[in-house]
Amino acid sequence: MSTSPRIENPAQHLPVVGEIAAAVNRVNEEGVLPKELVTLVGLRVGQLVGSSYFTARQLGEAEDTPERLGAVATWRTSPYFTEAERAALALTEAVHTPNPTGERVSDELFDEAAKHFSDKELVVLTGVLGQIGYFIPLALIGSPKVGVSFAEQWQK
Amino acid sequence: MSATTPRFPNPGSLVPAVNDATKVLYQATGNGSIPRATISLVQLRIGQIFQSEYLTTLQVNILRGIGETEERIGAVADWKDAAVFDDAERAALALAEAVFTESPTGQRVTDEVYAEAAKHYDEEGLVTLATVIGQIGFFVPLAVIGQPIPGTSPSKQWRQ
Repeated sequence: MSTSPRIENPAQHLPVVGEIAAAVNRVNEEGVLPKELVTLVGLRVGQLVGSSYFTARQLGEAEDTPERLGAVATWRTSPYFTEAERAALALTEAVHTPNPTGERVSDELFDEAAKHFSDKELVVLTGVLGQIGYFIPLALIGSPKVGVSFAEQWQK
Repeated sequence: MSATTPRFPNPGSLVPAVNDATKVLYQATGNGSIPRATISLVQLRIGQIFQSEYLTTLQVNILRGIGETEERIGAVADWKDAAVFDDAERAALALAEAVFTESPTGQRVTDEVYAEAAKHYDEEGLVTLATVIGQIGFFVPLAVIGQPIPGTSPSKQWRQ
């Protein structure tokens, strides 16, 4: 199993990668969503796609308690999250979980999220998931080093 | 299931940063290292994996527009058994599918899948391919959560 980078600095091969990263990283620039929530959903996506790179990155930047961060993987049975956080985690999980018999994000899930978030907050949450969605293939294909700085992560 | 009812208003109007990201992403993959048809075949497959009628309609229309046959368009969903794709296209489809398919016992993109892709694409091509996949990775949540109306113009596809 590969844990060393397969590709050297992607932005060197495709300079627009840096521009895209900067653009997608601005989706929550106004701070519409609390940083804690953004970290929770980012961490959950990293777990769902099996990326140590993402989970280490989210944990390294997290400003939350070890109890809550550790409980993200089993959030459904955890008492540590608010109803809004649970709705956001449910939405996150639905996007990344195959559903052979219907749509991934059901009306019920969306309606539950809409009880806790405004339209604008929902769009930012969706944008945050998209932000990670953009980086997933780079991480899973390129296999950057885990737990080092952005400058070092692509050094073979 | 309400497959054609958009759940939120135009996201770019509510959050301009989403619009800006969309614009940059659309300019990203036209460097010529990945054939136009391969880009849309891969993006169609991702739309299928996420069961997004919006994304599949968009890519089918693009593929028809560039003269792809119905036979090749129709074969994308079961490309592994299809004879109509060349080895480079198959490697690109395998990479996209690996990124978005659960792998409970290992990493999603194995060294084997990566090595096969690396036979057909140089590093610029592989990074471009990752961006082609990532472009849709950005749009998947917008499509499956926001549920825009398939096959309409961007100004009409969201809740009015």
